[in-house]
Amino acid sequence: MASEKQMAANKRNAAKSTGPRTIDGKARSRMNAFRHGLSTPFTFDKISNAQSVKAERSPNETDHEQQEIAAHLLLHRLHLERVKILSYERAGSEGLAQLKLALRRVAALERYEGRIFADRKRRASKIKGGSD
Amino acid sequence: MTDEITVDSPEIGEAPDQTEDTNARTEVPSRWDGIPGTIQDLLSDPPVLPHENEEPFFALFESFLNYAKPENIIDYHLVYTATVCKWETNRYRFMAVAVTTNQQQAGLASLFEQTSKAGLGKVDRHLVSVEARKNAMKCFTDSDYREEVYYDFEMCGYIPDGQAFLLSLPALATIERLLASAEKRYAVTMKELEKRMASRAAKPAPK
Repeated sequence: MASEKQMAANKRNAAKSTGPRTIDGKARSRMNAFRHGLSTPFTFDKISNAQSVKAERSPNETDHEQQEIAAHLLLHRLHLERVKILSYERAGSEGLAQLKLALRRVAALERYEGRIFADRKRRASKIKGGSD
Repeated sequence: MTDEITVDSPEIGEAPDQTEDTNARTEVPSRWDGIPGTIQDLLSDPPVLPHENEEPFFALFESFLNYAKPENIIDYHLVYTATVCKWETNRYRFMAVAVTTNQQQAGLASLFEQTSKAGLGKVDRHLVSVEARKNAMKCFTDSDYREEVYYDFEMCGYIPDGQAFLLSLPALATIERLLASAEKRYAVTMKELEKRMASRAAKPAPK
C-alpha cells in the first residue's frame, strides 16, 4: 500500500504529464494500440482506398455489391497480415516454440475472417429474404 | 469441377529472386490485362510467403479463372478468394508434414533419454541429455546406426516417428484447426461462385 507521501507524489507527477499535446503527438499516439485494423467495420469507402477501386466504381453498383467488394478487400488485408506473421516466424529462430507462437497469432486472426464471412452471409440472406 | 483446377504445392520451387525490399510489387502477367484493375492490384501483392513461389499461385488463379469464367468484379473477387483459400489449405498441409519431420531428431533424443538407465541426479540427467542429443544426431549421419537404433526402439515398443509426432502435436493441433477453417472458407466461396455460374447459365442468352 502506498504511503500518503507517495500518493501525493504520484498525483503531482500525474498532473505534470497529461499525454501528447501537439497534433503530431496526438496523431501518433492514436495508433498506439493499433495492430492490424481488421476489426474496422467494413464500409466500401473506408476499405477501398486503392485508386483502381475508385476508378472502376460503376454507378450501377448496388450497396450490396459495394459491401461485397469491401469485404473481399478486407479479406485480402487479412491474408497479407497472416503472411506477415508467418514470414516473421521464418525470419526468426527455427524453433518449434517460435512456430507455435506464430500459429497462435494466425489462429487469433480467424475470428476476423469468420466475422467477414458471417456478415456477408447475413447480408445475402437479408437480400434473399427481401426478394422473396 | 476439379478437372480444370490444377493445384501445386506452395513450396514447389524456390522463389527465383528474393529481394530485400518487402514492399516490392509483383508484376502481373500481361495475359491478364483484361481483368479488372482491382484484381490486378491484389495479384501484384499476392499473399505468398517469402520462400513460396508466386508462379504456382498465379497458375492456380488462372485455373480458377478458366473454370469460373468470371464476368463481373464480384465474380473476380470470388475467384481470387477461392485461390487464396486453396493456397492456404496447401500451405497448412505442407506445414504439418514439415513440423513433424522437423521434430524427428528431437523425438529420437527424447527416446534416448527415456530409455536411459542413468540415475535421476541433476548431473546424471544433464549427461544423459547431452548423450541423447549426440546419439540422435548420429542417427542422421550414420544410416547403419539409425537402422540399428530404430530396430532396438521398436523391439522395446517405442516408435521414433511416433515420438516426433507426439512432440509436434500441439503445433499440429493448431495447424489442423487452421486447415479446417481454410477448407470451410474455400467450400463456402466455391459454393457461392458455382451458384453465380449456375444463375448466369440459366439466364437466356441476349438475342
